[in-house]
Amino acid sequence: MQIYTLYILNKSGGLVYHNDFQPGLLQLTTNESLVMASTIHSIHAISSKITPANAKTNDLYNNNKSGLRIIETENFQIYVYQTITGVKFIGFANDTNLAEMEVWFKKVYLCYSDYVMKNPFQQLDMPIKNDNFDRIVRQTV
Amino acid sequence: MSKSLKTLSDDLWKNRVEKVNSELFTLTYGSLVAQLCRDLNYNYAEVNAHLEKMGYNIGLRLVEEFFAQTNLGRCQTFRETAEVVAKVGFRMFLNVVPQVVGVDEKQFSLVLDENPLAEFVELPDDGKAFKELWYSNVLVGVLKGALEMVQLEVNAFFVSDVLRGDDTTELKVKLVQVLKDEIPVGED
Repeated sequence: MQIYTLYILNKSGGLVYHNDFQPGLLQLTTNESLVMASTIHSIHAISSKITPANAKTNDLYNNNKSGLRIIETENFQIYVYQTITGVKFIGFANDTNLAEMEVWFKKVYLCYSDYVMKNPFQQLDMPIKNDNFDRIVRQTV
Repeated sequence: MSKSLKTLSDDLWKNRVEKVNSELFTLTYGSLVAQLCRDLNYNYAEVNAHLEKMGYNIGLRLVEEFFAQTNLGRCQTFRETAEVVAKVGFRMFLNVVPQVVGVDEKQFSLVLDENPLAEFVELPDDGKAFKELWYSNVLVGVLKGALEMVQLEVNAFFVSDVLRGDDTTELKVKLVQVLKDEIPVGED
């Protein structure tokens, strides 16, 4: 499993956190990252909307039941995980699968609940600038 | 359902959550309330409001840890919410399990047989505190904040408190509305 990048989106689809884990990645500009984040947010919502009513979902712990979960290219995949409160974790990765990513996302969510939500100066839904969180998230990769 | 909730919360309490010395916790909360009373000139209505506001801000954040640790999904009914709040929520953060009474689709009451917040507390004998102060009002705010994050707007308040000389400590939660428009898309 190789994880390149983590995005965190607040419940309105704004990019609040971005961290690259591998050296030598081609960089998007801040503006492009924001566009990427809100595009994924929108496609997620649209795909949920066009899901047939009787479609079967498999029983992952993910609360993202009917929305976009994976985007695949030849060389990497983008995975989308959504919590019950509407926060989205987006992972750019390769050589992995949904179940494995699910486990990773849960670890990241735990780090988030500890290091972000328990920082008394972190404002909800605002960008996350937090060295402790950077460090601890990097350890999960 | 309730059996598995018990197993879940036992495991959480034993293996997952961080714990602090209960006296440190009780005394910290106690000095906070006492300081608030002094700062606000023993205007207990305002003290209640402040405690609730603090709790609300705690609840908004606490709920993320709750879900990160428990992996629980959305409750299908308000009864289920009551069970989960009492058996998992209170157990996980306070290691008490309040009784759930008077539960229907619009409301429930939590009866706290033991209240870790109020362990050594005697309310001041100024003739007002017994009638006006809800010492543990932070819990009201926590419930409101946490439930709001899962799109349940509730009204919560204490109806009795052993500190005031009542027989029980009872916290009532009433469902105002389910904020349907705010449920994140992608759920069923």
